[in-house]
Parts: sequence; C-alpha cells; structure tokens
Amino acid sequence: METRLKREEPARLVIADDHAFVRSGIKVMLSGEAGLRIVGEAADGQEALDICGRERPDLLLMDVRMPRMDGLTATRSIKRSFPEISVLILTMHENEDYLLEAVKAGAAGYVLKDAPQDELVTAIRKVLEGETTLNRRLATRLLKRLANDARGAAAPRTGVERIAPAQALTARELEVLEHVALGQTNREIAEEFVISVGTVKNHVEHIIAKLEASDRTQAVVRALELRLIDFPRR
Amino acid sequence: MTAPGQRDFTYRPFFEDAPDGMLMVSEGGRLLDANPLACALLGRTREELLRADLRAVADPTDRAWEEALSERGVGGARQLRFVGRGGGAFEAWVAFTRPARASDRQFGLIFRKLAGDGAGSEARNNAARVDGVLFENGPNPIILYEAGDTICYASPSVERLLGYEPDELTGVSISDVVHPDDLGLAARETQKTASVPGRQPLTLRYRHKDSSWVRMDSMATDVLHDPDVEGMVIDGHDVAERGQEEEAPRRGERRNLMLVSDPTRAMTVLEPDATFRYVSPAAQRALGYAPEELVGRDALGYVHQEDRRQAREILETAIRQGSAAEVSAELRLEHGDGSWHHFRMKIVDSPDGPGVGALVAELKDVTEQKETEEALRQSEGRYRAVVDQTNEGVYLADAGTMRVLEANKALQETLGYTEEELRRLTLYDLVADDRAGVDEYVRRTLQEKRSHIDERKYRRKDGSLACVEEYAGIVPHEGTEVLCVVVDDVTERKRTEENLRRSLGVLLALREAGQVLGSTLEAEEIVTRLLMIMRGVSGLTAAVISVENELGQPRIWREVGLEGLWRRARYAPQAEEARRAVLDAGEHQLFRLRGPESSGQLVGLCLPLRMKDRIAGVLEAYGPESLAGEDAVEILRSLAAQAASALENARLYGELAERERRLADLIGQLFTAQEEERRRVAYEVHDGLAQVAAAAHQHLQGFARFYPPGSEDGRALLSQALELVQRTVGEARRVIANLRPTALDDFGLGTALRIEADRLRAEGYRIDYENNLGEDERLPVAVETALFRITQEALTNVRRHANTRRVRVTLDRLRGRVHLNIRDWGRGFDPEVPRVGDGPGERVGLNSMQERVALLGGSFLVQSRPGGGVLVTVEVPLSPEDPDREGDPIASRDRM
Repeated sequence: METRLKREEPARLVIADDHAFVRSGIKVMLSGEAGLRIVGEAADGQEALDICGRERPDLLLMDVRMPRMDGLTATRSIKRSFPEISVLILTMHENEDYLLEAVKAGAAGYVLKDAPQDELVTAIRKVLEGETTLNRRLATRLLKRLANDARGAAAPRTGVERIAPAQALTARELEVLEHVALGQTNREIAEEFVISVGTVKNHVEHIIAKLEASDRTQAVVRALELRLIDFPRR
Repeated sequence: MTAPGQRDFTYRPFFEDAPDGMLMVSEGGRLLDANPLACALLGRTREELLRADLRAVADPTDRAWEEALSERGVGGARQLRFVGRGGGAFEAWVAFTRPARASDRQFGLIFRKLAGDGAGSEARNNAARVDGVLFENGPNPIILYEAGDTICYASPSVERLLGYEPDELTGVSISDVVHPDDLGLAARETQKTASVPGRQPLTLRYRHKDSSWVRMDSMATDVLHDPDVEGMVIDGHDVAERGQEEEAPRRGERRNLMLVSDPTRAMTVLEPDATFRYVSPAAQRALGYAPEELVGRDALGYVHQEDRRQAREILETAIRQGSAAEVSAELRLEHGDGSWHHFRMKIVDSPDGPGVGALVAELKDVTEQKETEEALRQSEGRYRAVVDQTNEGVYLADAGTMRVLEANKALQETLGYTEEELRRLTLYDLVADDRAGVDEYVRRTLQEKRSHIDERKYRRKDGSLACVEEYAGIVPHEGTEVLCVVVDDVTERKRTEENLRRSLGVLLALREAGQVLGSTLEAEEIVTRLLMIMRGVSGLTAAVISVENELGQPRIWREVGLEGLWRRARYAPQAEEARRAVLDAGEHQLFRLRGPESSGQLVGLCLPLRMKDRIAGVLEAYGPESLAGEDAVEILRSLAAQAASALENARLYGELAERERRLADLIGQLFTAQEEERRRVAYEVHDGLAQVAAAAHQHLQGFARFYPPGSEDGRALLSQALELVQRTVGEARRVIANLRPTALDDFGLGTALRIEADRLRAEGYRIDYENNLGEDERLPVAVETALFRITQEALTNVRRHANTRRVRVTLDRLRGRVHLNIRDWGRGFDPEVPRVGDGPGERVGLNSMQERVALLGGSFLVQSRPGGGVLVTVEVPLSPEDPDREGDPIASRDRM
C-alpha cells in the first residue's frame, strides 16, 4: 500500500451499484480528486467480480443490495480470489450489524451513501493508505463482537491456543496491532509510543503483510481470529 | 337179605355198636346195610340209605373214589370224601373189607370221620371223643342233632324214656320232639354251647311216642368244634317219671323258687287272682315295700289306673295261654315312697307253665331309662319343633348313599318338594354341582367334622336355582353318623343385593355419563365412553352406534363387544327392520333374536339418537333378557338422549372450532400479508426513494464542487439544500425501519430488538435489553416477526402511555419455548377497568399482540396495576404443534 502512495499513477477504483444514478453520483463526487481514477462500473456483484478479474483495481466501492449477486457475497469471492483488492462497502444502512457483516466478509471499510464528499474521499484514501475507516465507537463494538465470535469458535478447543501466523509478529508489532484494534490512527499510535508516524506506518505495513491481510481492518480481524490479540480493553 | 341176614345177624351187635361208620355195599354200588353211626355221620336214616347208592354218599368230586373202589381190598385205609345230608362234605378214613367168599358180591366199608381236611391225628382224636360221647352207654338218652335241627342220632336209652326206637328219631326235626313252648329255651341253650361253665341243666318237655310230655333236664353239649358237624348232644334225664305227675309241680316250684331267689332279679309270684304270693328281695327293693305289705294284696292295686287294664289283660293272656314265653308290658307301679315307677313286667311262668304252676312276673324298674327316654323325647321334640319352625332349611343326609333322610318344612318350601319327595332324592339331585364336587364337599365335611359357611346353589323342583348359604355338620342318627345340613335361602337377598348393586352402578354410570358427556366435545370420545358406560350399566353384550351416511344408510360408527355376538347377528331381518324403524319413526324398538343352535336368545334394543329435530343415528344394544326390562330400556334411553345432546354439542363445537380455525387462518394470512406489504414497501423505499435521494445528495455535492456558490447566501442555500436532501435519506431510513427493519430479516430477532433498543436509547430511554438467545441464533421467521412486532407494539405503548423512561426487554429460551418479557416501570393500569380515553388503536394493539401469539400456539399475558407498571409476557413454542402455521411467505433471507 505504501507502494500505491509512493507511485505516481492514481489509485484505480471500481464502483459496483445496481443504480446507475448512484454510480454517476459517486463519480461526480470523486471527479477531480487527485490520485483516484474510476476504471470500471458494475451493476451487480457478479459483474464486479468479473471486472476485478480483468482490471485488478486497488479498491472496490461496493453496494450491498444488488441483484444476481449481493455485495457481501461478491466481497467474499473477491477477497478469496484477489486478497490484495480492498473493498469499501457503500450502503444505506447505518447500524454496525451491517458493518460487522461487511468486515467479516472481508471489507476494509464502510461508508454511508449519503455521506459528505470529503468523508467518502477520506475513507477511500484511508483504506488506500492502510488506515481503518471505522470510527472508534463502531470499531470498539465491532472488535468486541469479533472477539466474542472468535472465543465462541475457539470454545470447543481445550486451553488457550494461539495459532501461529505465517510469519511471527514481533512484540512491538503486537503492541501496535492492539492499538490499531482500538481504532487509533497512526498519528495517535505514534504519539502514544513516542515514535514517528512513519515508524508506525512501517509496523502496520509489516503487520498487514505478515497476517496476509489487505488492510489494517482485515489485519485486526485476522489477528482476533488467530487469537494473537485479546479484546482491546480500552 | 334172607340168608346173609341170618348169617349177618351174628355180627349184628358188633355192626350196630361199632365205633366207626359201617356200610355194606353190593358190587353194583347199592347200599345193603348201614350201622347207626354211619347213618348219623351221613345224616340219613337207615331206610334212606338202603334205598340209595354208594354214589349218593360218595362225593362225586373226589376222584379218589374210583381208584379206591377198583382196588378195594387191596390197599389199606385211604382218605375219601363223603357227602352228608345237607350237601355238606366231610373227609373220612375209609377201609374196605374183603368179602368172606368170592361168591359174595358185596363188600364192607368202614369209615371214620376226620376233623378237618387231612388233619390226620387230630381228626382221629376228635373222632375218638365223638365215640366217647356217643357210645357212653349210660342210662341217659343222648340225642345228637345238627345245627339244622335234624336229629342224627339217638342213643338206645331214648327208647326207654320216650318210647321211640333210636332209628325212628334219626332224621326227625328236633322241633318235632321238643315242646313248642320250650323251643326258644332249647335254641338258647344250644347257642350257649359248652363254653359256659357251671350251667344248670334246663328242663325241657319232650314228646313221648304216645304223645304225652316228658320233662327231662337237658344240657346241650357242643360235641365237636367241627364246623362240619355242628352237632349238639342233648344229654337228658327225665325229671318226671311217668306216673309221678303230682310230684312234678312241687319239684318245679322248688326250682322256680330257686329261680326267684336269684338276688339280682326282681321276681314276684302271683296267684291267678293277681294277689302277691311271693315277692323276691330284689322286687321288694324295686317296689319299695316290705314283703308283708305286698303278699296277699292285689297286685293290680299298685298299678297305675291307666295301666291297670293292660296289666289285667297280660295276666289273663298268660293264664289262658299257659305260656312262659314273652309276655311283657310296661306298667307304672306305685312305689313305696308314693311315686310312680315305670316297670317292665315280664311273665316268666304261668299256672300251666313248666314251673311252679303260678304266675311268675319279673319286674324291672325302667323309671330312669324311661325318664331319660322322656327327656330325650322332649329334647328331640324341642329340637324338632325348632327345626320345623326355623326359616332355615335343615335336612339330614346319609353321607354314604347321599340320600336325604329327613328335611324340615323350610327346606321343603325353599325347594318346592314335599318331604316324601325329598326323601327320594340325594345330595346330587339337590346341590347344583357335579358329582365330583358334591363328593368332595361331603368328604371334606366328614374329614373336618364340620363345614364352613359356604355359598352354594340348590336346584328347586321347578328347575330354578336357589342361592343358599350352607353349613354342614356331622350328627349321630340312629346309630350312625349323618350329614346335617342347614341351608339359608339367600336368593332373595342376593337378588336384592344384585339389584342394589345394579342400581348403584346405574347411578354411578349415569353420573359418570353426565360428567364425561359434559366434559368433552370430542364426538369420538363421547361415543366410545358412552358405549363403555352402557356396557357397564346394563350388562349388555354389545352396543353399536350407527349414523346415517350420505345415502341415508346407517353405518357403524363405533361399537363395543360385537365379537360377543354370533356372526351377522346384527343383520338379522328383525335388527335391520328395527334400525329402519328407529330412523323413520324415532321410537325405540325392542326385538329378540334367536342365534344358531346353542347360542341362545338375544334381546336387541334400538334407540334413536335425536338431535334437535332430526334423528342422526341409531344406538343398538344387544344382551340378555334383562335388557328388555323396563328399567334397562329407560336407562339406555336416558343415556342415548344424553349422548345425542353431547354429540349435538360436539357437532356445534366442531363447527365453531372450524370457523375459528378459518378465522385464525385469515388473521394469520392478514398478518402475513401486512408484513409482506410492509417489507415490499420498505424495500421499495430502500431501493427507490432512498437511493434516489442519496444519489441526489451525491450529485448536488458534485455540482457544488464544480460550481461552488460565489456568495455567502449561495453557500447557505447550498448547504440547506444538501441538508434537506440528506434529511430525505434519513426519513427514508426511518420509514424503512418503521415498516420492517431489514435487520430483522438479515440478522434476526436478537439484532433487530437491539437496534430498536438502541433507537429508544437514542431518544433518552433507559433500556435494559437482555438477549439470552445466541447472538446469531435464528428463530422461525414467523416467531421472529411476531415477537418483534409485539415488542415494537409494547414499546410504542410505553412511549405513549407509561410516562416512564425505564424499560426492560428480555428474551429467553426455556424448554423449547421462547419467552419474551417487556416490563416498564410506568404508571400502569387496572386491567379490570376499561381505560378511559383508549382509542380504538389501543385495543387493536393489545388484540393484535394476542392474535399473533395465538397463531403461534403460544400464550400472552398482560399484567399491570395502577402505579406498578406493565409486564407483558409472551411464550411461544419453538416447534409449533401445527406445522402449517410455520409457513411464512416472508421467507427470503437476502441481506440488506
């Protein structure tokens, strides 16, 4: 992701929504934004999947309720086939149950359709930068739910078992991960640890890579699933 | 026997007096001569023997005779069997004499009787004793006679005393010789035999050849203990020589006095005029008088007046008949102490008698015996009176023959027999049990000497059975033990008991019928129970309830006990006709069926099942004759009427239930349709209006970026426009949530309720939401929808009326049921009082909650009191009994 920021060419976006006027509305809102380029549009989940195979975009703006294949199903498929593609859910629903479902399906973030332009752009950029797009309140509840789910899943097993990730995280990385799980931004983490934002970014990059996640949200989800971190206390 | 007779005469004395039996036999076997002993031993007179053949006296079964006769003279003595007069055979030692000359065509045969078969030496001993007796040539005459009273020997001295040749008496019956009046004495004497020591000789009168009577003291001696002879010897000597007639009475008197002096016998001698001549000491004691008080007085004066005539008659009879034989009577005599004593008076001698020539009467005081008898008679009388008057039947029966010996009146009445008829019957006839049963019963009674009170059935003369309680014991009766049976006829009691029991049964059954028929609305159950009850009440065998089918044909609906009837009994013409008649006329029908062969007769009863104005069915009952009774018919009619009304109720209820079910279906459909409509509208708003509004918001923002307003007013207008559009989106969201939250479909009840709670919290309510189901647990769609709507409704009520911000919502699952509680701490209400100002919507709210729960087969409860808040409790089964109701057309599970 750092590479996306460092490279000169703009991030490639695909919009999936069954309503053409919504797609055009998004396009209008994003037009003129530096470094963002709409490379495709899909009217349903299946089409979105097809375009991802063709275009390999950096980010997908995905509606949930669509004919043929809904957004969550499509998200799951895309994350399975193209884990490097980030998905940002675009929805009318404003409660966290939907957000939770979206994150579980592999989405990196969640934006309401009637969000102000700058909110949408920020969300896109944060995802592209590996930042979480969740606000803290939602994040806390989300993570609590995820932790519960993970415990529930682990319950049949005996003892507390930590599943080794592909590559072991360093102690520092785990500390950073716990703060990421709390919904803190890189800057907040940097201030807490009294280190530079760049260093935090580096840590997060490593964490995402080691956990084979597409973004920091998915990294937290993965870490909770693997029981690398506990439910954030703060 | 001329010449030989001459010669023979030389040997005659020897022949005559030989100690052995001797016979002269011709070569052809004819008997030529027999000596007296031979005659005696063979039991025949000489004349008889001389007319006979040797074969007549030789036992033909004895084969040894043939050999003996062919070898006669060669061998020595041998044992052969003779046949006596009565056919009695005896063994004897037999020697044959050689003829003196060869020309002599005759031979002698000498035999000596043996005591027993082959008892050699002893037989000879006994024979010697016979010899000793027989040939004791003393002065006294000896008469030997057999048990059959035939004289077989008389000693020569008989001639001197009685004038008979000895041979003349041989073969004559002793009764022809002894005085008829003395025969009894003679017989008794004979019976005593020689075993009684120290006997006095007995004076018997013998008939002289010249027909006069000669008294001789006689003593019988059992000559031989030989059963074959059984002879008696009367050794007599005359007590009154002819020509000494005067002295005889004197001597007799002496003897009689001696007789009456016997200290143990109460003897009196009476003059012919019945005055006492002599009273023995024993008699004095018995009568309680001194001799001088009696002698010379009239004996009849002491006799009770009522017995006097009888006493006189007896005395006269004794005098007239001159008999010493049994003349006796029972008389009351006045005792010396003034009391009356019973005496048995026996005349033992009379003026013409053999004794004293006076009346001799022996007295025996039988007062005690008499009193005992009287007491016995009285007690017997009392017993008999009791037995005859008692209400219980009493009879005596011989335990061996089982024959009825006596029976009292009660038994006669109970069984309908006369006593004579009963006496001809046995226990087998009376007791209604098989032979073995009666035998066993008698055997046990005899063994235990008594029986226990037992219930038993007796046959009456008319063949009917009598139920009795019976007690049997063993009593002595005429010297033997017999069964005494007391029977108490309890037939009536039994019948009464039975009737009572039946009445009680009927009452209970009617009560039960009332309860059953009133407590159930299941037609099937009514009918089944009714049939059981009817069977219990009236003892019927089978019952059938038929109803008419569409074609108007009665068809069996329910039945009990049909297997107890013979095949096709119900299809007998009478039964078919009765059913038809009941359906047509509505009146009950009684008929009788005769089954094949031994199956007997059956009573059938058909009753109408009348519902309102029509006859819906027929009740048929089959059973014994008792079913035809007025009571039975009445009971069954009553039961049928009850059943009919219960069935009518059941039918109405069934219709009502059906209507209700349809209504519920309608309501269910209504809810479903409403829900579906709401969802359709919700998604329409979501997919249409909301999207358009959102897109408008996006476009407006896009437009503003490209054409930013140049003025402050422009910016204000823009932001106002943006806000309005966004509000439109928000409104759309709210509308969707109110119509049907998508979360309910997408995440389930738990999540949907949490969202609701969150919404209220956002409004400032203090909401406890407790979901004890699993986080992602899904319930049946219909349950989720209903519980969500109920919660929504309840929370709306809280918002509108409760005037509180504190609410608790809990969701639990217990034993397969979901429990939803919504509790507020608001002002509450009195459920009994209709709330003033309630709008119609209010009622619809509570009613719809209730309806929703009812559709799911759950329970719904609202509890409240003024100031105490409201608690709404809902319980819904998770696996509804009726799976049809689970079907909710809103089954789509698509998310968001």
